Amino acid sequence: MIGPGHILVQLQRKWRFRQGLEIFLWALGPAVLGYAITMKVGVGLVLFFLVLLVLVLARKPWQLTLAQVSRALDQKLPSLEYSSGLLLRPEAQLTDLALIQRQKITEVLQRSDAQLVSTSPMKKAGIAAAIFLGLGILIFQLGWGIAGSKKSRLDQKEIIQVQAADSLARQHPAPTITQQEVTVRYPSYTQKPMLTSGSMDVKALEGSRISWSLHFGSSVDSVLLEQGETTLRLSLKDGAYQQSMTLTESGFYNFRFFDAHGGSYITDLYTLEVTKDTPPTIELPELKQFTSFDYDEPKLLTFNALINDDYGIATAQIVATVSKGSGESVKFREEKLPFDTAPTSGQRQLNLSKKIDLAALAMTPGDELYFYVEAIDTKRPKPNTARSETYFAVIKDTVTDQFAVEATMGADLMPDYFRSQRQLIIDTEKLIANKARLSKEVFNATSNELGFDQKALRLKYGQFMGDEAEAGPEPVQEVTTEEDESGNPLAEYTHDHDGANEHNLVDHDHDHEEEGPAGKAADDPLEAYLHNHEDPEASSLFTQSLKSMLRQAMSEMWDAELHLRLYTPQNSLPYQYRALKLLQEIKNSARIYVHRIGFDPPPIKEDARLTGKIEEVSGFQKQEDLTKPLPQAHMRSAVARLQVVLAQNEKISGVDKELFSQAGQELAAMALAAPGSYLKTLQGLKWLSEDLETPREQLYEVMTGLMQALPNLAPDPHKSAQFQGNLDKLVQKELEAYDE
Amino acid sequence: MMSELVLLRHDLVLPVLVGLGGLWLVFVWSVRATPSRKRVLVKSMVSFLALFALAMIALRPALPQPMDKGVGVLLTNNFSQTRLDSLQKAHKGIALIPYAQNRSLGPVLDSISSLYILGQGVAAYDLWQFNDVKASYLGGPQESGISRLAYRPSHTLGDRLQLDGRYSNPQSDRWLFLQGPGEEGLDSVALKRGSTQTFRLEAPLKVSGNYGYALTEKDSLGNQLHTEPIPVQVGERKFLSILMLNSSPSFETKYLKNFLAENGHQVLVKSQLTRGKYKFEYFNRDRTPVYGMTIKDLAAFDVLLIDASSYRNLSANARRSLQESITEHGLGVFIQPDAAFFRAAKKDDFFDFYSTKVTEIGLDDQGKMSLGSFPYRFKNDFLVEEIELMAPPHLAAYRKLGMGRLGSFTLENTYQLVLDGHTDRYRELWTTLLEALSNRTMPMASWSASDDLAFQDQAFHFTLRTRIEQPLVVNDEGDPIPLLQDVDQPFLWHGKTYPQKTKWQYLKMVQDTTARFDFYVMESTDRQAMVAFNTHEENKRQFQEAQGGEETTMVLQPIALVWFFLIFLFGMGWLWLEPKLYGQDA
Repeated sequence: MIGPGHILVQLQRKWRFRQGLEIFLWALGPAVLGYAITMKVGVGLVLFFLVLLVLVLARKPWQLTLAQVSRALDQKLPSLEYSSGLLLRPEAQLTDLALIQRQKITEVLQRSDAQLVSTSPMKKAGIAAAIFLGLGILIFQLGWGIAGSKKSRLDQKEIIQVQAADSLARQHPAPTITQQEVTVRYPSYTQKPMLTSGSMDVKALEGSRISWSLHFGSSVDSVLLEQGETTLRLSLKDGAYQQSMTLTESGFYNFRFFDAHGGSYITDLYTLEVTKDTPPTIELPELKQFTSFDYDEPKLLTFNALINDDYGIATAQIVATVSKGSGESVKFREEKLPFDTAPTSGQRQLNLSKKIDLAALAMTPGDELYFYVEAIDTKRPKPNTARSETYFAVIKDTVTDQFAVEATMGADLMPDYFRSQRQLIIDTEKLIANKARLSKEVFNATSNELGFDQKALRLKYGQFMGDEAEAGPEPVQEVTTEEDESGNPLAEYTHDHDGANEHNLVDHDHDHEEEGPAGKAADDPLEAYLHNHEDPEASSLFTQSLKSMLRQAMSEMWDAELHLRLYTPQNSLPYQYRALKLLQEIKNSARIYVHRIGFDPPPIKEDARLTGKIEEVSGFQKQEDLTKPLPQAHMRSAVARLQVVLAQNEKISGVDKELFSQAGQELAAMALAAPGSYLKTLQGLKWLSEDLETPREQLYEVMTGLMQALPNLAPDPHKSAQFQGNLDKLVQKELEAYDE
Repeated sequence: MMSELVLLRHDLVLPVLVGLGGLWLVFVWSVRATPSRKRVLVKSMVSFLALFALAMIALRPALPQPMDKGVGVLLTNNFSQTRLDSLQKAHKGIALIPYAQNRSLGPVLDSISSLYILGQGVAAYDLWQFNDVKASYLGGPQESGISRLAYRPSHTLGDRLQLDGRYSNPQSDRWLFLQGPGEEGLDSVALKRGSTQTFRLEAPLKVSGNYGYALTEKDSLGNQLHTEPIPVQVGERKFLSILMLNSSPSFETKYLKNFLAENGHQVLVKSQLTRGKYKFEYFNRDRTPVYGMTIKDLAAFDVLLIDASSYRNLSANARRSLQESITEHGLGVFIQPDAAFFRAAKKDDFFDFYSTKVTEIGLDDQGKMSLGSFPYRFKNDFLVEEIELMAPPHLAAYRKLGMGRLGSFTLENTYQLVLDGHTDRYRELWTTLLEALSNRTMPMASWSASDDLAFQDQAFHFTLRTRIEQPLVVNDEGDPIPLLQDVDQPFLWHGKTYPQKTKWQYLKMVQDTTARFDFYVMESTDRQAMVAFNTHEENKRQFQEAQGGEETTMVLQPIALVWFFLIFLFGMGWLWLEPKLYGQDA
């Protein structure tokens, strides 16, 4: 059984421990933060102990007396009835009542043990420590600390390595580079902040401005930046050698500097890698490539366009093309449509919506809409343009177009009535053949009908001639068949295929039609077919040749009709045939020859053709030199030379250095595509071409690198060597003899 | 039996005979005064006997004796202990003979009648020692490693190095890497546990020169366990001089001439435009037209590509000079076929064809690459050599005519490959065809090694074929190497050298320093598994045949000297006693 006083002692201990922990937590936070900022352990430790000391002195946890504990308990727990002090008194000094009270509060204390010591200051301290810790980690990660911006954060690898490039330089200690800095200023449109780094390998956007700044520990005479064939001199400004250039293409560079004694030094090779501003990407999710609408449904096309770009989009729009009509008369109209939500310039990501009403674009059934989304980014001076795939929207046509264009003609200019002459001949021959089986009335009636058809055909042609009145009496009074509503007396007899094609023949946009009175087309039906583009010569020639032949054909038809009407179809046949022949000729004369695109053979000299004379045919001689050096010849020679140097422990001569330098140029050209991969080899070649002592391992490395970089050679036949002695010849002879 | 008596010290015969003969004569002269003739005779006889015995002691006579000898076992490298144990069980007291290379085993071998050889075997140069012994080769466990390796050590730039090999007793989780001269990995193969594994490794050859490629065995952690040098010699490409004759311009010629001319070959294309008029195109060469087909004209070319109709229309004269150019000067001729070429084939008996219905040739497994062909294929014929086109067989072949070759194929419009974008395949096809046919340059000297491997301080045999009458060969140190002319072939010379340094070494001819022979000298630790395998095979071959013939061998046994001593002592004793017995003057 624990004594009642003991409870207070226990509480006192617990209290002290918690106070200690609290002080520790308060001290820990600033210490971690201090370390994160300065990256120095000492700073952290000093801070820790300083805060610890201050807090310990302020709180004095060792001064916590039992009386204080008792007072605090009384305040905290009303159920103790301010009598926890009884626990501290010896039992003998207490009255009976006091003893009972003491018994009571002991029970209370034992019951409520957990709530006795407050944890809230601990929590506060814990939260504060966590906040400091979080801040510290953040600063450490982002490198915002004092140390982060300085070169002490530089990786050992990134510090510029200097090599003496001549024997003069080896006599003196090499100047050291105390501070190195590359600044990349991105083009203004990217809105990216300036970047400063200690690493000399630069990877930046095309058009960025790169500045170098080098501080030397001892004085140097001059500093050069060597990039391939070009050399830039760094100028001394504010104690640092500086130079800048605009990044246009990938490559390699190194620094070369001369000390006060004239000794030359070169540094490692570093990469300049250009990244390109990529054109925007456009996505049109949930939009089908091909959408079709019925003529009676609402023709609305709704879609969203997701546009992304690496540095910002300047503008985006929809380019729509409406096509009307078909075949040769198709017409296009291009329109640029803005999005419903106007794009904000400079955004990297846009989600634009658009609702296209096909009706608003004056589209009618059969019309098609092609459109794509075009986005332009903010790149200067020449922005990147990207376009999406092309999407289609069609309003379905209710009629189906069926073209019946003759193979030889671009457009079927002939009315179909001409064909009826052949039909008439067939019917006439059929009638003659069936004469025996038919009654005389039927025969005569059919013959008369055919005569009417022949007349109708003649009249139709007469329309083209404009002289039907003179050519014969009106057929109307004789018409016994019902006329169709459209007023076309031949509707029943014709086989109208070509009506649908009529829009091909008439271009409504031409001015001459709009100028003339409405009746003019009817007065001169040929007008529509002539397609007269103010070319009277072509027009009249065409019309003249047709006219004379048509007139002849019509007079033949006239005779044919006469004989049909006289119920002597056999007599009418020769006239019909002649009429058909003439019509055929008209068709041929009206053919359109299209000039073919492509090879235009010279006209054949008919007088020289097939004569067998070849005096003028001359021989032909051509001489060309296509020899070109082996690709990467210097690289290949460099490998071969390295092999000899390694195998026979030879020294690298001046000629070799020249070779390695040329090989380096070849490799650099290859390396432009992937600057990182060949850097080490290139570096090695650079050093080999300078006056440097190169260890064998490095020679191996360079050789390996070159071998790997060299592309395979394409197959090519070559001449081989083979020794042939007398014995070989004898054996061959024997074998041949055996074969025979 | 006396005829078989052999004097072991026959070199002493003369001095002994002279000395002792003289001594005997002196003795006979000294005893001539003895009154009794009979005593003189006896004394002379006895002294002769004594001196004879003395002579025999000096000359050590020996007699061949049938040997009653034991059984021995020769222990060579890597022998199996269990096998030895069972041998010892079967033959009590079997003699154990340890084998050391290049040391005489004569006396030891004399004492045994039959020999077992355990382990890897006896080195080739020691085999002669066992000619007279009845030996059986029992072999031993196969050494783990590359036991066979086949590849062409000399190549031309642009070729592919192809290495075929066999690995004995491979262990799992091991890899074989083909490494380039800078130790860069080029190709690899994983080894699987088993008795033997064959492998093929390939690499393109991109640079000319003498290189040490390597075959390296690595474990799964990438640790290098073992490396075998693979010497590879890569020569420069030599351009061809090509003449193309066409009866009319054709697409095939157009594409082929473009390919060849762009690669730097000297090409002359002569296409007939009309009767007597030609179109000449000269690529990478002088403007010297070829009108006729004289031997002199053709001598400038390595390959003649002629279309079948031009070939048919050759005049008798032209045909004769063409024939001579092929047989005597090694010209390569390729006939671009047309349908009539195959029909006329019977008449012209260079090639024989059989007809087929297949006119579409697939050139790859996926069926993406194909070419048209005439419905004919080459028949296998004596002296007709097929040209392997990495396609179905019998498509291309040539006939060797004297020193040259005449070939053709049954393919049609190969330029279709270029049009389809398979330019490399097209190049490969024509490279194979032209290399098979083209005229060979005749080098001043042609070298070859009878054994592909040269080892440091071991004999390296080589042969030299040259038209130079008295070739003088020196090594890289300038020391002359003696040559032995072949009895039957005067242009063939044999030589032997002991290379002292490793890696690339060379031999060259004094008369023509361009005739240089580069060879790679291995260290004694290289190619051990292969050497072991070769030794094993050689031993198997050597000891397969019945060895030593007879059961009992005759061995020269020296006659025990004690007899001669006794005769001598007896003789001396008699000569000492005789005067005492018969009196001094008696």
